[in-house]
Amino acid sequence: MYEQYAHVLIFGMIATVIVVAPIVLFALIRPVRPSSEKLSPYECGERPVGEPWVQFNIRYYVVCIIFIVFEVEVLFMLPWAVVFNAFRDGGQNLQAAAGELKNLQGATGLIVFLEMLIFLVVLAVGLAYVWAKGHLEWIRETTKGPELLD
Amino acid sequence: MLELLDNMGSLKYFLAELWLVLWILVLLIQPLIPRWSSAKISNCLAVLALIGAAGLVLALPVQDSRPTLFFGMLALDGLSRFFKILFVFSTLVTVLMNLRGQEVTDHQKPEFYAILLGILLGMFLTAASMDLLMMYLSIELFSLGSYILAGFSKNENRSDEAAMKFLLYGSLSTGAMLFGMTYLYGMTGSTQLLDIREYLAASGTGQTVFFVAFLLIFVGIGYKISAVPFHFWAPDVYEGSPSVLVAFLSVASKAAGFAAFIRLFYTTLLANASEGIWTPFVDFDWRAFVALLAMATMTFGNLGAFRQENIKRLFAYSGIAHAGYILVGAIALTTAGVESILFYLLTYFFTNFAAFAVIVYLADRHSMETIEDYRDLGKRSPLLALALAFSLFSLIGVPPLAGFLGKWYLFAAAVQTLDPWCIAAVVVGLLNTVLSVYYYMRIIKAMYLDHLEAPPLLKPDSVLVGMAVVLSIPVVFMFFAAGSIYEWTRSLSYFLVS
Repeated sequence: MYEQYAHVLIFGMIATVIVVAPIVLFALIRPVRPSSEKLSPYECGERPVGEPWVQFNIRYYVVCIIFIVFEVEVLFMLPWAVVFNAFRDGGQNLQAAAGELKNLQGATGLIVFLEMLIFLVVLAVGLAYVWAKGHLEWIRETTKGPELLD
Repeated sequence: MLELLDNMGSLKYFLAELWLVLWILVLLIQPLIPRWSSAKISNCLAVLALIGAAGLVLALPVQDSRPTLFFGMLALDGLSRFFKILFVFSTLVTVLMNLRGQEVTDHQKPEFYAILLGILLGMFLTAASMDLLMMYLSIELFSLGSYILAGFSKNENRSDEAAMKFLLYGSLSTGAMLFGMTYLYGMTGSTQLLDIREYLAASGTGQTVFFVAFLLIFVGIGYKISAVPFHFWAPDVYEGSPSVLVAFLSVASKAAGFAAFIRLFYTTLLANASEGIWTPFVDFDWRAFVALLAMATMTFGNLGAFRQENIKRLFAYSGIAHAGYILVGAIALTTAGVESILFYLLTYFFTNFAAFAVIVYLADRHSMETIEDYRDLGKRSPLLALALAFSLFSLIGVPPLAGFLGKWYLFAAAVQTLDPWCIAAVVVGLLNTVLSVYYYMRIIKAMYLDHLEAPPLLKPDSVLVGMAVVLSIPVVFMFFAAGSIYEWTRSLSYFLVS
């Protein structure tokens, strides 16, 4: 019963050989002349400036998360808007496609509209929360200490 | 018998979850309105939300037809009902413990409750999910909430460490689980548990890949129930997180793991042949595998607890050991095994929360966390010491306390199968019970036998002392009604395929 896995094993072995063989081969035949230019990290041809371990402001992450929330919102609304047209007359046009769209049976235009409205209200609460907590303002007082940052 | 409900028809059985979503939003808005932003109001809102959710869960109909909601995504059966009741009351007890707590500061409380309700929502869905995607998403929902709450004491490095370890181990193990689920989907072509069951029943034998798939899925579930060797997070998380959260995790998170375990493994792997004995579709011996893990879990949990000085760490290892005991019920592969797991989780709910009411009170109000701090508690606060002593005896399994009844039903269910692996697991379990006496008795010795010259005074706190007493009453007196309580869990142990 294990024969079917032989393909996987052979694939793994060939992959390993293809990766390891050039490294070993080139290590044996190439000349070794290191210089500071060669050993410096590659940064798109620029001369590297500063350490790689710089600290980012945590607020980038907050802004990033807020951005993703709205991006997902649009991503979700687009297919909804496309399908919504079929529901305006109470879903009669859907009868033909009912087999494929069984999840949509019994839904009318009003319900489909309300569903999206609920989704938007939930997101709006999130936006209100972020706004009231001051995460949308980039320049903030920091004199109050860590309390402000949470 | 099986009935598929469409989306609109499902909503009336989905009210508890919708209610929780509503209150999560309310708790997020509440601190933003200056006039309502006091911690008292968030306490009230959270308690109200949970009482409402408990009412809605209890009002769910118990019926012979077993509908699945949203076209087979969620089950509406006894198992989901039992776990939902367990989860909602665990959350209620946790919120009550937190009413006047200081580890979660007043201005953090609304967020704490909102996330806690989110975790509860995830657990509700976990207990009911009949689809791999639904199960994965709901497990993630409650895990992510727990990661955030574990790091909630922001000025404490221990709490940061706890959250970080929790997150890293957690993402690794849920990643493994997701990988296993993709194998299942790839082999069977469906994410629905019932379809996977049909496929395995027809052609489950002779395919090693299913063993790999279920092994990987067990990694994720084993992490949730803190089974060896996926238990490394438990001691650090228990030590560093806010004590109320630890109390919640120790009961609800473990129960959610077992809910997923029973739902997934019993639905897909086993046929309910006759007289309550389940027979596997597949030919790999996963009973032996889980039996070995159960024995390892009990033994390592108890040995790990031996040298702990911090009481929360000690309870982490105690929780690991108890996960091992409960797994013994799971490998019995009988209906009695499932019933005994539910009953054990019920006794564990009362026992652990009674103990944690005391631990939270001492850790939160007095920063007393080591066994040394518990010296002379018998004189300083007789009620608390008595409640803790009873729950410790119950955790050992001293008759006639609740923990003994739970162990009795578990081990009896396993022995009745006459399977060598089950009997081996029971023998190891009994030996481990003897082992565990040592470290539980260390706390009792500190409380009653070590006397202090001038013990520091304890501030009275009526809520927590009251809760410790109220929760330990069932621990002591469950004996009188054990039969009828077991009947109740039996009535709720049915699920879609049984």
